[in-house]
Amino acid sequence: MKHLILRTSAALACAAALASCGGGSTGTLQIGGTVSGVTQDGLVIQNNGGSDLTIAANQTSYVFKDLVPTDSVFNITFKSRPANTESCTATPATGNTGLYSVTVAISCVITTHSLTGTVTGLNGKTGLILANGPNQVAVAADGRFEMARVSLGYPYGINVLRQPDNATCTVANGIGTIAADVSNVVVTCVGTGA
Amino acid sequence: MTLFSIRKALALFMVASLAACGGGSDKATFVVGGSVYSLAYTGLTLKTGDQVLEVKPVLLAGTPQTVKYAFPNTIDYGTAYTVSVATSPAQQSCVVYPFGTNNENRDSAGHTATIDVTVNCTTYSYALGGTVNGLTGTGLVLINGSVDTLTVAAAAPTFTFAKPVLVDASYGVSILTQPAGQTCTVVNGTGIMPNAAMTSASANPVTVNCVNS
Repeated sequence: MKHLILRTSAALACAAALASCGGGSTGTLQIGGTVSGVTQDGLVIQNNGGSDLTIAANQTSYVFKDLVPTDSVFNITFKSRPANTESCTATPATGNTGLYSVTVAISCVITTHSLTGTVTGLNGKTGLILANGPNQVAVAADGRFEMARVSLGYPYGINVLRQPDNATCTVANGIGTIAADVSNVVVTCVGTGA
Repeated sequence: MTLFSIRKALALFMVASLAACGGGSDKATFVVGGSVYSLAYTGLTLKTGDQVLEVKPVLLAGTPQTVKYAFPNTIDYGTAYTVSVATSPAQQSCVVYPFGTNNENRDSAGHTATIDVTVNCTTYSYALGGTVNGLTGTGLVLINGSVDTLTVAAAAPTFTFAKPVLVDASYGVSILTQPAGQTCTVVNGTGIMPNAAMTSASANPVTVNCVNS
């Protein structure tokens, strides 16, 4: 008697679990794949407008809980994406399931911002090279300079990698963390002779 | 009887045509060559048999590039050959693909229409670190441009960034966040990565000096 009750409840639990897993559509194939470029929460994807799948920050793979039938259409869409991304793509976003599980790569591109400033005092002196880590920019003349774009939330630190001939340059506002386009870096050069 | 002579003639004809095809003394010859990928520095020498060939970057040194190579002496059809890396550039590790037990590629001439042995080079990268003087406060954060962020523990005498830096790439160590109660400055914070790690023992090491504020 006790066993029977246990069995019955186990069977019910199984049925419930299957129903919650299987969702509306029934099938045997899994949809999943790799995730790249996701450094914040907020990514939610769907297949054929079905139930939400939330992908957390720094997650590197995902699997839809709902299995799909063989030879059916899949269509991966983004319900929402992390606030620090400018786009997210699924590859392939749509297609037909064949006989095997489907692999769809999810990739997000983190928003980048420009990193610029002005140089004064060169007055024709040449050879100045500015660097933000490995990113080098040779500055030929006074005026605006532009470093490589930097991802939102990343730090930057602009240094003088090479001083110009016969001048010494210093950097102000050269260090920070990217929250928007940066344009206030000031490089001031003072002549040291000829 | 007639049949026999036909057979004999046929046999003779076949011998003659084989000789024409094979070319007894005119065996097909093969150039042992291929491509080196991502070669950026001088110092690569390849070896096959008793031939040694130096392969150099064609474009600006320091820029990874694809360079084709060919050993001067050809080898005959059917000759076994081995291509191996005799020396790599000081700044790179070069390996023959697919490599055997001794970083070499073995095959015989004629197995493929042309001999095309691939060599892949990888430029070394090294740790970026330096000296810290007088740090007592917590919260010092160093950056190397936008590439790497490092929190330095109070009283740490040295620091090392997690991400290695490629030889000949520039680095720039800046202070993103000052430690509590102190002001730090960086000396020798910017430079070009040598063909060795930057540590507190390097000449003109990157140095972070901290004083109480």
